[in-house]
Amino acid sequence: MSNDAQQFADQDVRITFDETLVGRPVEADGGAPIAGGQAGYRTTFKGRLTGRRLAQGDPAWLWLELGDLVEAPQDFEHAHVWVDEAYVYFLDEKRS
Amino acid sequence: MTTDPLHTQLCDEYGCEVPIVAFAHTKDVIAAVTNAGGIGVFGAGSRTPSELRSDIQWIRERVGDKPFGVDLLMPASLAEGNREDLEAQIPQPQRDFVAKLMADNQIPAPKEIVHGDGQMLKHARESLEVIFDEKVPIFASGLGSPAFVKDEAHAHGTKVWGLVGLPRQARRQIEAGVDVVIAQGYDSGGHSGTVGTFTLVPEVVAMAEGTGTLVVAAGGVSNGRQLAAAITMGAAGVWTGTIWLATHESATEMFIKQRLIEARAEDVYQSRAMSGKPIRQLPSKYGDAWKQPGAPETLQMPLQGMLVADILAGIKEARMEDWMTSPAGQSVVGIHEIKPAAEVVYQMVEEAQDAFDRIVGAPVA
Ligand SMILES: Cc1cc2nc3c(=O)[nH]c(=O)nc-3n(C[C@H](O)[C@H](O)[C@H](O)COP(=O)(O)O)c2cc1C
Repeated sequence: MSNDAQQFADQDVRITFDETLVGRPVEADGGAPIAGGQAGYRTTFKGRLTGRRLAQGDPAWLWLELGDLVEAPQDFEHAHVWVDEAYVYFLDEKRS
Repeated sequence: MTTDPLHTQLCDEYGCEVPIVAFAHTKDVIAAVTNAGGIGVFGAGSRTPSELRSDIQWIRERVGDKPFGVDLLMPASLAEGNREDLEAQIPQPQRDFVAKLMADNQIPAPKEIVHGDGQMLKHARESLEVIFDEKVPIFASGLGSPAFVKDEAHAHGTKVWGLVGLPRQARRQIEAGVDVVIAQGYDSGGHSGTVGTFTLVPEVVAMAEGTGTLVVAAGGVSNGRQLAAAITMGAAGVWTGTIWLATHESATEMFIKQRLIEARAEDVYQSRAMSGKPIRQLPSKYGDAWKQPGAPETLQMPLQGMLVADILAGIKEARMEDWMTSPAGQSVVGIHEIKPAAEVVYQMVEEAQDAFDRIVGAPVA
């Protein structure tokens, strides 16, 4: 699991566990601003959900934790990544 | 013809006179475009919440009730690491290469080093609060999905726009009831996607049909023929970035404006040398150095950004113009001179009207 305490300190974050999500294969469109904020990047991840869900603020901004990464940017240094639930595509469902 | 094809649904819903949206990081461009009848959207990625509030008030004082927006680069994935642990992972050949570049080219070490603090969620949320509190007419999310704040935004009278690079992202946003989807194609400046504008736009338009979500086309648009083409493809307007960099009002450095005029579409390249992620940009000695034979591979984000933070800051502080760059799209091809933003709007409209005239063989009413 990622180091949540350090990563999300003081960010109004709640982390819960949803057993029904564990191991489900997904693809997710990620990306973030680049330090300095004048530009951003996009990237795709593929892996399995760990079952952990993060909710930030109100209204809740929902994120799912992805592990067992089989697709990530080259040299991606992390075993897990949080992805915005809005751009998570379940590979065990017909719809994308 | 009795109807004006340039008066699209975007004009009906937002009160703009022409369906041209300008993305820029300079407030003066936003005010100028909105006052010329288009919609200016301010790129607020690097502003603190209090800076953003005064930016919004500054713009509003100049545009009154006319439509404008604020764009935030909302994250879509989070994988922050501990800075010290990450720094230890930067390989020696890359460190040596950068040190040699600095020594060989007399690039000074920077006096001031700025590091991001990694609190992306909190910062995004604080900026959103300012946007809603100030009742900005449009909030645009330039990266992640804005769906989670749609209802809150609407409650404050703010419309929600989302910029997408893939059809599946568009589908999600349309399903979520976002007001406008900006379909941003490969040719665009900055964080361009992988699908070309001409391919992406009609597909997203077809998805949005009958849903109430409008589609705006982005990427490579610098003239009125492209505006006419976008409308013909079913878009309600165009979203443009590069073209505004070379306007009088833009805070872009004069030498960069000059290079924008000189650059051809094929000159701008995608380079990972700034951050580790591909950004389409103007060529520079810095970008070129990483393409020379013998140059090491660029590292992944965030390592590349950490590796090169000092050299980039040093280049900027010493104002080494040949070494500096700016994100720019293939639409540089449409920049021939530095002119007022309003003139860019009027010219694009005139060209689009000509293009429609040529198709129907009669002047547009
Ligand atoms: C200098 C520059 C900086 C950009 N920064 C951002 C940004 O911070 N947020 C964003 O949503 N888009 C950003 N973009 C992309 C624009 O919103 C827009 O999609 C793009 O410029 C459209 O393509 P065009 O440059 O061919 O007009 C940037 C573009 C440029 C040229």
